[in-house]
Amino acid sequence: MSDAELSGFLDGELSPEEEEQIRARLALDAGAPRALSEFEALQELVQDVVPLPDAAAWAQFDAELDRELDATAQPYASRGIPVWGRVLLAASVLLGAVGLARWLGGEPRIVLAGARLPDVPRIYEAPQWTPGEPRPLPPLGGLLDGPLELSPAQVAALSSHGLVQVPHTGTSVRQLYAESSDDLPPLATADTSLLVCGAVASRLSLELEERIVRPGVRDVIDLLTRELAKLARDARGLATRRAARSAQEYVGVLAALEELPGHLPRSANARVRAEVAQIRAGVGPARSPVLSAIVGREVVVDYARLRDRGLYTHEPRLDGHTRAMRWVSTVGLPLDPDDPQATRVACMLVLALSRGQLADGRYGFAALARLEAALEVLYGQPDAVTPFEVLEALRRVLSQQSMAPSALTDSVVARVAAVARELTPPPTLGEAASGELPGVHLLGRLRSLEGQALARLSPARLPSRARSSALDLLGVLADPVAGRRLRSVISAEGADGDDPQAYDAALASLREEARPWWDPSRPVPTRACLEQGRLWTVSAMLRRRGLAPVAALNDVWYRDRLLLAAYAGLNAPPPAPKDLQPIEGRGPVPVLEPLPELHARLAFSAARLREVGEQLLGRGSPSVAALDQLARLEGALSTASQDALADRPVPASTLTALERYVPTVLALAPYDVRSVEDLGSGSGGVLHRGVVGLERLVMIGVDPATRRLRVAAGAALVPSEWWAPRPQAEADPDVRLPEWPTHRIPGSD
Amino acid sequence: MHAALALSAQPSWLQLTPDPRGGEPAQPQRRPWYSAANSAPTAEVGAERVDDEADWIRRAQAGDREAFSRLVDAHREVAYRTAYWILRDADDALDVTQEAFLRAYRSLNRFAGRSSFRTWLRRIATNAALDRRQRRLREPELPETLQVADDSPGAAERLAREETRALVREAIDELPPASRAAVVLRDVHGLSYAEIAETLRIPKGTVMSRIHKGRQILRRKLADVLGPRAEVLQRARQEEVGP
Repeated sequence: MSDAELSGFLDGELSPEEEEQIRARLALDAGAPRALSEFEALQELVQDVVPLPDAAAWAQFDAELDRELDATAQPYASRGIPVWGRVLLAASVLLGAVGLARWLGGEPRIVLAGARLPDVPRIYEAPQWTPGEPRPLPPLGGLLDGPLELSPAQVAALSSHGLVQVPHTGTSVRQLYAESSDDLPPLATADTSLLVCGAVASRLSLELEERIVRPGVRDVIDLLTRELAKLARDARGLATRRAARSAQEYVGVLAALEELPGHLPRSANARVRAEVAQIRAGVGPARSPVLSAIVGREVVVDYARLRDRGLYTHEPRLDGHTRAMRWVSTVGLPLDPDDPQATRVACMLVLALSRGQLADGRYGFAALARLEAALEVLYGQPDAVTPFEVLEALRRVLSQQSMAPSALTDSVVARVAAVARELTPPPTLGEAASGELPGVHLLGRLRSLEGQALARLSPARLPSRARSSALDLLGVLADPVAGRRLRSVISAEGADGDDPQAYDAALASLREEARPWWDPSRPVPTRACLEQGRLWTVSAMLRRRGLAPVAALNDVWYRDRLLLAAYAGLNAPPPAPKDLQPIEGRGPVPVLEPLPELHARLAFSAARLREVGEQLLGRGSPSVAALDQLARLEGALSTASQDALADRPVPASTLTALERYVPTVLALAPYDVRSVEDLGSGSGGVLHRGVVGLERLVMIGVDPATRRLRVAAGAALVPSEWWAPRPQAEADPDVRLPEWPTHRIPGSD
Repeated sequence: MHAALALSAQPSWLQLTPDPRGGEPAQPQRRPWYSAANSAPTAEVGAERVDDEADWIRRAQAGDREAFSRLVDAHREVAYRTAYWILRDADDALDVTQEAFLRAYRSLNRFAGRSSFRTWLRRIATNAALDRRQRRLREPELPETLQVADDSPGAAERLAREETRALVREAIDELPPASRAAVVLRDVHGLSYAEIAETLRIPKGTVMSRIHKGRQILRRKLADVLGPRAEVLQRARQEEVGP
């Protein structure tokens, strides 16, 4: 019996007769069983060279394969066109596309950071005054005609706060502007200041979005698309690759909204298309196809929250972008220690960011960091776990190890989720709102207390992502001192990120601290509040005093500022209209923002934003230049209003500032505001959205007769204004306006 | 002893062929030399098996996922072993196995039955594994998996087993190419001599001699490892058979 036969016997490859012979010999030959055992042991060893997956791994394999098969075309599904036909078809499509591109003469629509600067028309096209050449002051028309009589209380209010009513409607002001559009009077209005400030802030937002955020987001999407495709293809482990594919879908939604090419698994196309369609339609609460697939259960998203809102978000160029930003800031990827499979998706996103490089060599996280700097100015710090926290968590959990996709075992992922949550500062908005998953947001949600104050001031009517772009709020956001101050209070209160009530507790503490300021007889120290980051104090104090129409305050911030001024200018509060919160108490309670303070506040905010804008956009930025002009102008107006209140002689510099006011406004206003006339015409763009009519004016004017400054409040300050149905009054110029009391500005005689 | 051997009634081919209805997966299992199972399968049973698989294939080609799942159950280990041998990585092998089945599923309508399904699948798995390896060569490899210190129970045994694997792998790699191919196809991939002959396009007798030659070399090289194991096996067999 040869070893060869034993070997064949072992393999069961001998004939039955041969096997019988072998068995017989095995019984007789003492050495044969030993030799056979050695062959047998050898066979075992060789077989064991391939370590087989255990039962759990096979079970996972089966499940994964089932999912893949679900998404794979049936064996006969693709039989319609033969291979040669498909090649021909693909070639013809390619040739057609090339030909079409050449025929159109267009370049591929590729937008990279810095490759295409935003088109910023009109800001510098507006006429400028020639410095040093004071223009002849035109008459103020009917604005200051007739004697102005003031009640003692109004005189007192004027002396305290620089406000007085003037007996003219906005119509006359509009006529004034219409008749001498080339020769406008040096008339500064507080609401125009506020509106122009808002417009400049929007302009800054727009520029940041166009120059930094959008290119940055597109770069990040492009990077993620490439890296996730690699991971989905090459990463080791089925679960890892599946997570990468899920992340591809999430990013695919962004890419589709930004109209960027995406690389999606075929099975994901339909889901992503459905998701994008729902986002664009703003359909309200509906099942999210992509998130449901990621999480493995039904997830409902309120798509109405993803609709465009606000001012510059209506910019057509940014349509897809603003929707993408809303999607990414509203809908996060799960971060749940108990659901490693879903959490692994976020980890893959972070790994892709950490691996990929942009064309300029920057890594994904470097690009994301630059983005976040801009986003913080725009929207405050993110109130959610961001990729930065997840990256740090990965580093900690995988310390001294490489961050390989295959390292993301279930236990590792669970630990990463827990550590990332620990690393994330306490959320100030509480946990996710309805339809919102707590988790990792690529660009974060609102996190800052400042942002919280901002959100509370105007929760539903904000531009882009539920954040305001009001200049002074942005100024506070950009102020590190204010931010630190607010965060330190939160921290001192021991606010816990898991406790949605933490913010309220901290806020209560701040209110307590500010109790002395609630003295109704004390004017609101707005500037001091803002300088200390106490924006909320202003709001809370005004509410507490019952003098602010809370509903309106939340709706249109600018208008309410003016309303506050209006109330302050009256001896008695106006009757409460239906849509305003009843105002209790009567009597002269002059609570308002003094005009010099108002302009000083705007100057402060504009200067603060100018610094930040310069850091982000450089000195050549139109927005930065506009903010610089605005800061100077508002500073001059603050001085001018002080001079006016004190009835001091007007310095030449103030006069120059006033003379520059209107052209500066024209220059600073965004491109869809053509002139100050648009403010009240109903055809205006951005500015008009924030104004309720020129009837509410707080003005600094130069009396042509005396060449002294006048400060005046407009007709809207009259209580009966509230009784008039405003839309009709604005729409119909012939509507009979109420009889206005006449007042006199001291010194106008 | 021989009487006991004769009592083992299970045909050997059943051990080679997995239960396609969800039983244990395919295993190129070691068959006891003393078992009557080593006798060739009867034509009747073998025909039933072939008929079953042919039926699954037909049904899968008609879009029956259940039938395809049975094919997967029956052959996933073959595909895995094929992939692993090329890639030498468990995760990659599992991925490629999945890829192979996906490719097979998409191309199922083109499977004409000129070779066995297993041979066809192995070819697909081989191609997929080679593709994967080629891609790895072209593109920088992703970082390696964590090397976490393993202090769990049985870690020492696992380590020893892994060392033995490395030793055996090295010995196989050093075999003459012809013998290596035959041994690997037989003992690693579990192919029959006929399938090896078909794969390597050599006569069946040559297959046997090449396998034997390779095993002899391995037996010498791995004598230190084989000795104790062979003793254990022999003792176990004697205890089982009885005095």
